Amino acid sequence: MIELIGVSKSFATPFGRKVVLDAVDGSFAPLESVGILGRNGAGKSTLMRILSGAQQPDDGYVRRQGRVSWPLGYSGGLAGPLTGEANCRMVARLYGADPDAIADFARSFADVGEYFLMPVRTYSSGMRARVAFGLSMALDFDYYLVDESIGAGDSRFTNRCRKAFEDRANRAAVILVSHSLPTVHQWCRRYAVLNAGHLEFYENFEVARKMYERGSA
Amino acid sequence: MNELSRALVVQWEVVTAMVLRETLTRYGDSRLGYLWAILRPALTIATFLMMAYLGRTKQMAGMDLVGFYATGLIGFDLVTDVMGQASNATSANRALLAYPRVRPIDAVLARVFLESVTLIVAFAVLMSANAVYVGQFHIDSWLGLFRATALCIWLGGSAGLVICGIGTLWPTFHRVVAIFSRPLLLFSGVFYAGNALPPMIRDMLMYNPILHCVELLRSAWFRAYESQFAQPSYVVKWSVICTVIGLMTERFARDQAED
Repeated sequence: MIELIGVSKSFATPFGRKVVLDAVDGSFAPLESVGILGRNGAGKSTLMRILSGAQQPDDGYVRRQGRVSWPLGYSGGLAGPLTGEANCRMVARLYGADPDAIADFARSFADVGEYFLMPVRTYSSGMRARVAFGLSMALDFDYYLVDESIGAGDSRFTNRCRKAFEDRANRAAVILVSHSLPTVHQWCRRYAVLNAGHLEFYENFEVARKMYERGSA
Repeated sequence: MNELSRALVVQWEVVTAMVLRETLTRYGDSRLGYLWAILRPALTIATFLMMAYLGRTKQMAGMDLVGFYATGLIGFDLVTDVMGQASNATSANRALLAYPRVRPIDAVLARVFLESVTLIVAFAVLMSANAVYVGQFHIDSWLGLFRATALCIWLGGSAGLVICGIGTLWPTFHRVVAIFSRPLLLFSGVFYAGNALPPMIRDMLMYNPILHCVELLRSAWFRAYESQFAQPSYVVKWSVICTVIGLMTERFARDQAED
């Protein structure tokens, strides 16, 4: 279970403080995949970082039980000067896992061929996402925090990711943020809309869609 | 396991992983790799010796020249190199801060550890080579040597933590520090013995904690030298203040590092 209790976050901008999350409450149950909809700039990435623990809320707190992944997305995560393999071994060590096993798994999942042994800075953004994704799959998490990047890869890889999550549906949940209604509908069974600092949960996709479209209008 | 011991295990895993990574990225690219770390201070000392030779200096307040410059340079480097490495810990490890397990303090600790060990190894190699050449080896006080080394590392690491924290909030701070730390080499007793300074100049230089560090190191190493003014407690005061401010600004470093 991940619980958000009165979580607030704001940032200083040249135009004054911008409130991204305003006393947000919510809970994410084990094995329950949740799709969070939000427009660009609604604070989806901030919410993910706070869920993962990479960022601290200004107010309120997050209670986590189980292993939560880092936010999976395009940006960050892999160090440019190191090879894909070295990156995987490094992150395995960060999480106290066996570097050999993790690197092997990530290599076969990512399927980037010899690039796996080349510095990450030579990768295309799609290849980065593959390696990062394979790496996170190698480390058994209870919750996977996924940024919209998943829909951006080529369709073969996207399908592979979905298959991987379906295979582990009985032991892991996906928390996906996206601005794309079809992606969220495809991946998740429970929905939430992030708008103007508030997070509302919906069991029904059509209701979530209406609320999201009203917020966007 | 209770909360604290679990947190310590996580921190241990994170810091050791980061030390390995730093070693790879810092020394993996160059063909000579880690050897450079030892060659660099050796070459610097060779330059100092050449200058001393031109000035016809044979010894400094009863200390042999190689030992004198080596203790001075390593003491100075332990503070300033550790500080420099620590102060860029978060900007150089931006990618890693995406992992919730990694905190800015871990990046700082990893760099402080790697830099200190590298410098201590370099110092040990240099002094062993010198001992073989001179034909004798003597350390006045092991305890004093340990204390002086620890103080250098603490001062450098905590000052680096402060620069790292303030530098993320206000990036110009890195430039300001760079300007002010440039003349430090002249004011930290690397080229002269503190006891030999005119009282008026010494009273002013005594505000510099690095001078205290270097003097403590030399007093511990040489039987012939005992600093008349160096105070461990003065270095401790600086380090405690820096540690407190550094830990307070660490939180900001984390938030800013992700934007």
